[in-house]
Amino acid sequence: MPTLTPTLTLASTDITSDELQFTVTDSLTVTAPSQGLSTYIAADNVGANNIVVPATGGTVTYFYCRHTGTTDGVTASVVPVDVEETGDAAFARLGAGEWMYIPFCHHAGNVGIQFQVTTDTAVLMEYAFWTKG
Amino acid sequence: MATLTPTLTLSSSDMNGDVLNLSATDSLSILGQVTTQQIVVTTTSAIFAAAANYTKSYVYLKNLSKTPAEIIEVETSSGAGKMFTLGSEEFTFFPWSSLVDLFADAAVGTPTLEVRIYQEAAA
Repeated sequence: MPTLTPTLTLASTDITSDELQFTVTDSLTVTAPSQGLSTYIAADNVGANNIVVPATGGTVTYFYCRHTGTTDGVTASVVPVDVEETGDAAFARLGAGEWMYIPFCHHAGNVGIQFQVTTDTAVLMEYAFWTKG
Repeated sequence: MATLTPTLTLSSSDMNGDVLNLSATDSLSILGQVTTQQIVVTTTSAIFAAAANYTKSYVYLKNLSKTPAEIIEVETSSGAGKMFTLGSEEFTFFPWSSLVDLFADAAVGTPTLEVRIYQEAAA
Protein backbone atom coordinates (compact mmCIF):
# COMPACT_ATOMS: atom_id res chain seq x y z
CA MET A 1 0.00 0.00 0.00
CA PRO A 2 1.20 3.57 -0.63
CA THR A 3 2.82 5.67 2.06
CA LEU A 4 1.78 9.24 2.89
CA THR A 5 4.32 11.36 4.77
CA PRO A 6 2.86 14.39 6.54
CA THR A 7 5.27 16.92 8.05
CA LEU A 8 4.25 19.90 10.13
CA THR A 9 6.43 22.79 11.27
CA LEU A 10 5.30 25.43 13.76
CA ALA A 11 7.51 28.49 14.08
CA SER A 12 7.36 31.83 15.85
CA THR A 13 9.93 34.27 17.20
CA ASP A 14 7.55 36.35 19.30
CA ILE A 15 4.70 34.19 20.56
CA THR A 16 6.28 33.62 23.97
CA SER A 17 9.64 34.52 25.49
CA ASP A 18 10.94 31.19 24.21
CA GLU A 19 11.33 30.88 20.44
CA LEU A 20 9.01 28.31 18.91
CA GLN A 21 10.52 26.05 16.24
CA PHE A 22 9.65 22.42 15.92
CA THR A 23 8.84 19.87 13.24
CA VAL A 24 6.90 16.63 13.46
CA THR A 25 6.53 14.00 10.80
CA ASP A 26 4.86 10.64 10.37
CA SER A 27 4.69 7.77 7.90
CA LEU A 28 1.15 6.63 7.15
CA THR A 29 -0.03 3.64 5.17
CA VAL A 30 -3.01 4.64 3.06
CA THR A 31 -5.46 2.99 0.70
CA ALA A 32 -8.56 3.68 -1.35
CA PRO A 33 -10.86 5.47 -1.39
CA SER A 34 -8.68 8.53 -1.81
CA GLN A 35 -8.81 11.85 -3.58
CA GLY A 36 -5.66 13.48 -4.88
CA LEU A 37 -5.14 17.19 -4.57
CA SER A 38 -8.28 18.77 -6.02
CA THR A 39 -10.16 22.05 -6.02
CA TYR A 40 -13.83 22.52 -5.35
CA ILE A 41 -16.07 25.57 -5.47
CA ALA A 42 -18.10 25.56 -2.26
CA ALA A 43 -21.06 27.24 -3.82
CA ASP A 44 -23.24 28.29 -0.92
CA ASN A 45 -24.13 28.09 2.77
CA VAL A 46 -25.84 24.70 2.52
CA GLY A 47 -23.40 22.01 3.61
CA ALA A 48 -25.34 19.21 1.97
CA ASN A 49 -24.66 20.84 -1.39
CA ASN A 50 -20.91 20.70 -0.84
CA ILE A 51 -19.99 17.18 0.27
CA VAL A 52 -16.34 16.47 -0.54
CA VAL A 53 -15.72 13.27 1.43
CA PRO A 54 -18.46 10.69 1.03
CA ALA A 55 -19.56 8.62 4.00
CA THR A 56 -16.44 6.90 5.27
CA GLY A 57 -18.02 3.79 6.75
CA GLY A 58 -16.26 4.53 10.03
CA THR A 59 -12.71 4.31 8.72
CA VAL A 60 -10.03 6.88 9.53
CA THR A 61 -9.67 9.42 6.73
CA TYR A 62 -6.63 11.71 6.56
CA PHE A 63 -8.13 14.96 5.28
CA TYR A 64 -6.42 18.14 4.11
CA CYS A 65 -8.15 21.32 2.96
CA ARG A 66 -7.27 24.97 2.34
CA HIS A 67 -9.29 28.12 1.77
CA THR A 68 -7.73 29.58 -1.39
CA GLY A 69 -8.81 33.13 -0.56
CA THR A 70 -10.67 33.35 -3.85
CA THR A 71 -14.08 32.56 -5.30
CA ASP A 72 -12.70 31.01 -8.48
CA GLY A 73 -8.91 31.10 -8.37
CA VAL A 74 -8.78 34.80 -9.29
CA THR A 75 -11.40 36.91 -7.51
CA ALA A 76 -10.48 37.55 -3.88
CA SER A 77 -12.72 36.33 -1.06
CA VAL A 78 -12.30 36.50 2.70
CA VAL A 79 -15.61 34.82 3.54
CA PRO A 80 -14.93 32.05 6.10
CA VAL A 81 -15.82 28.44 5.33
CA ASP A 82 -16.98 25.95 7.96
CA VAL A 83 -15.76 22.38 7.71
CA GLU A 84 -18.51 20.07 8.89
CA GLU A 85 -19.33 16.42 9.20
CA THR A 86 -22.28 15.54 7.00
CA GLY A 87 -24.59 15.67 10.01
CA ASP A 88 -24.07 19.49 9.84
CA ALA A 89 -21.87 19.85 12.94
CA ALA A 90 -18.98 22.22 12.21
CA PHE A 91 -15.62 21.37 13.73
CA ALA A 92 -13.43 24.01 12.08
CA ARG A 93 -13.74 27.42 10.42
CA LEU A 94 -11.19 28.40 7.78
CA GLY A 95 -10.39 32.01 6.94
CA ALA A 96 -8.72 33.06 3.69
CA GLY A 97 -5.44 31.22 3.24
CA GLU A 98 -5.95 28.94 6.25
CA TRP A 99 -5.64 25.16 6.04
CA MET A 100 -6.12 22.12 8.20
CA TYR A 101 -4.99 18.51 8.40
CA ILE A 102 -6.98 15.99 10.46
CA PRO A 103 -7.39 12.22 10.87
CA PHE A 104 -11.19 12.30 10.58
CA CYS A 105 -13.17 9.48 12.19
CA HIS A 106 -16.68 10.23 13.31
CA HIS A 107 -18.43 8.47 16.19
CA ALA A 108 -21.54 7.87 14.08
CA GLY A 109 -19.51 5.76 11.68
CA ASN A 110 -20.88 6.31 8.23
CA VAL A 111 -20.34 10.08 8.02
CA GLY A 112 -18.47 12.26 5.52
CA ILE A 113 -17.16 15.83 5.33
CA GLN A 114 -18.73 18.90 3.74
CA PHE A 115 -17.97 22.60 3.29
CA GLN A 116 -20.42 25.31 4.26
CA VAL A 117 -19.64 28.91 3.32
CA THR A 118 -20.71 31.21 6.16
CA THR A 119 -22.65 33.43 3.73
CA ASP A 120 -24.45 32.46 0.55
CA THR A 121 -21.49 32.97 -1.76
CA ALA A 122 -18.85 30.88 -3.50
CA VAL A 123 -15.36 30.07 -2.22
CA LEU A 124 -12.76 27.97 -4.02
CA MET A 125 -11.40 25.26 -1.70
CA GLU A 126 -8.44 22.94 -2.16
CA TYR A 127 -8.65 19.48 -0.63
CA ALA A 128 -7.43 15.91 -0.64
CA PHE A 129 -8.04 12.79 1.42
CA TRP A 130 -6.73 9.28 1.93
CA THR A 131 -8.13 6.32 3.84
CA LYS A 132 -5.99 4.76 6.55
CA GLY A 133 -4.61 1.44 5.41
CA MET B 1 0.54 40.73 18.49
CA ALA B 2 2.65 37.71 17.60
CA THR B 3 2.95 35.66 14.44
CA LEU B 4 2.69 31.89 14.14
CA THR B 5 3.92 30.29 10.92
CA PRO B 6 2.58 26.78 10.35
CA THR B 7 3.83 24.80 7.37
CA LEU B 8 2.43 21.47 6.27
CA THR B 9 4.00 19.16 3.72
CA LEU B 10 2.24 16.06 2.40
CA SER B 11 4.40 13.83 0.27
CA SER B 12 4.31 10.41 -1.34
CA SER B 13 6.31 8.75 -4.06
CA ASP B 14 4.13 5.70 -4.64
CA MET B 15 0.58 6.95 -4.89
CA ASN B 16 -1.52 6.81 -8.06
CA GLY B 17 1.57 6.59 -10.25
CA ASP B 18 2.30 10.20 -9.40
CA VAL B 19 4.60 12.01 -6.97
CA LEU B 20 2.78 13.98 -4.30
CA ASN B 21 4.66 16.95 -2.88
CA LEU B 22 2.15 19.39 -1.42
CA SER B 23 3.25 22.29 0.77
CA ALA B 24 0.95 24.76 2.50
CA THR B 25 2.00 27.57 4.81
CA ASP B 26 0.36 30.55 6.45
CA SER B 27 1.15 33.52 8.65
CA LEU B 28 -1.28 33.66 11.57
CA SER B 29 -1.78 36.60 13.95
CA ILE B 30 -1.90 35.41 17.53
CA LEU B 31 -3.14 37.43 20.49
CA GLY B 32 -4.09 36.32 23.94
CA GLN B 33 -3.83 32.85 25.31
CA VAL B 34 -1.20 30.30 24.40
CA THR B 35 -1.52 26.84 25.89
CA THR B 36 1.31 24.30 25.76
CA GLN B 37 0.86 21.13 27.74
CA GLN B 38 1.11 17.37 27.84
CA ILE B 39 -1.80 15.52 29.38
CA VAL B 40 -2.21 11.87 30.32
CA VAL B 41 -5.33 10.55 28.66
CA THR B 42 -7.28 7.70 30.23
CA THR B 43 -10.22 5.59 29.14
CA THR B 44 -12.48 8.10 30.90
CA SER B 45 -13.20 11.04 28.60
CA ALA B 46 -11.94 14.37 29.96
CA ILE B 47 -12.11 17.91 28.68
CA PHE B 48 -8.82 19.56 27.69
CA ALA B 49 -10.06 22.73 25.95
CA ALA B 50 -13.23 24.48 27.07
CA ALA B 51 -14.88 26.58 24.39
CA ALA B 52 -15.85 29.20 26.96
CA ASN B 53 -12.17 29.88 27.68
CA TYR B 54 -11.13 30.71 24.12
CA THR B 55 -12.10 32.58 20.99
CA LYS B 56 -11.12 31.13 17.60
CA SER B 57 -7.80 29.34 18.03
CA TYR B 58 -5.34 27.14 16.19
CA VAL B 59 -4.93 23.70 17.72
CA TYR B 60 -2.05 21.25 17.39
CA LEU B 61 -2.42 17.78 18.90
CA LYS B 62 -0.06 14.82 18.88
CA ASN B 63 -0.46 11.37 20.39
CA LEU B 64 2.99 10.77 21.90
CA SER B 65 2.40 7.09 22.58
CA LYS B 66 4.50 4.59 20.65
CA THR B 67 2.05 1.77 21.46
CA PRO B 68 -0.23 1.14 18.46
CA ALA B 69 -3.24 0.19 20.58
CA GLU B 70 -3.11 3.45 22.56
CA ILE B 71 -5.37 5.40 20.21
CA ILE B 72 -6.70 8.77 21.38
CA GLU B 73 -10.17 9.87 20.35
CA VAL B 74 -10.84 13.61 20.20
CA GLU B 75 -14.47 14.29 21.02
CA THR B 76 -16.86 17.23 21.17
CA SER B 77 -18.77 15.86 24.12
CA SER B 78 -17.78 13.62 27.00
CA GLY B 79 -17.59 10.01 25.88
CA ALA B 80 -19.34 10.78 22.59
CA GLY B 81 -19.09 13.09 19.60
CA LYS B 82 -15.83 11.59 18.33
CA MET B 83 -14.44 13.69 15.46
CA PHE B 84 -10.79 12.65 15.15
CA THR B 85 -8.77 9.56 15.95
CA LEU B 86 -5.07 9.97 16.68
CA GLY B 87 -3.13 6.76 16.30
CA SER B 88 0.28 6.20 17.81
CA GLU B 89 2.50 9.25 17.04
CA GLU B 90 -0.14 10.81 14.76
CA PHE B 91 -0.79 14.57 14.83
CA THR B 92 -3.29 17.14 13.62
CA PHE B 93 -3.47 20.91 13.12
CA PHE B 94 -6.73 22.79 12.62
CA PRO B 95 -8.43 26.14 13.25
CA TRP B 96 -10.84 25.54 16.12
CA SER B 97 -13.87 27.81 16.01
CA SER B 98 -14.27 27.41 19.80
CA LEU B 99 -17.97 26.65 19.45
CA VAL B 100 -17.62 23.21 21.01
CA ASP B 101 -15.52 21.84 23.87
CA LEU B 102 -12.72 19.39 23.08
CA PHE B 103 -12.38 16.12 25.03
CA ALA B 104 -9.80 13.32 24.88
CA ASP B 105 -10.53 9.65 25.46
CA ALA B 106 -8.09 6.74 25.19
CA ALA B 107 -9.09 3.44 23.60
CA VAL B 108 -6.80 1.63 26.04
CA GLY B 109 -3.95 2.52 28.37
CA THR B 110 -2.73 5.97 29.33
CA PRO B 111 -1.22 7.65 26.26
CA THR B 112 0.15 11.18 26.52
CA LEU B 113 -1.41 13.88 24.37
CA GLU B 114 0.61 16.96 23.45
CA VAL B 115 -1.67 20.01 23.22
CA ARG B 116 -0.78 23.42 21.82
CA ILE B 117 -3.46 26.08 21.43
CA TYR B 118 -2.84 29.55 19.96
CA GLN B 119 -5.66 32.07 20.18
CA GLU B 120 -6.24 34.12 17.04
CA ALA B 121 -6.11 37.90 17.12
CA ALA B 122 -9.60 39.28 16.50
CA ALA B 123 -10.03 40.50 12.92
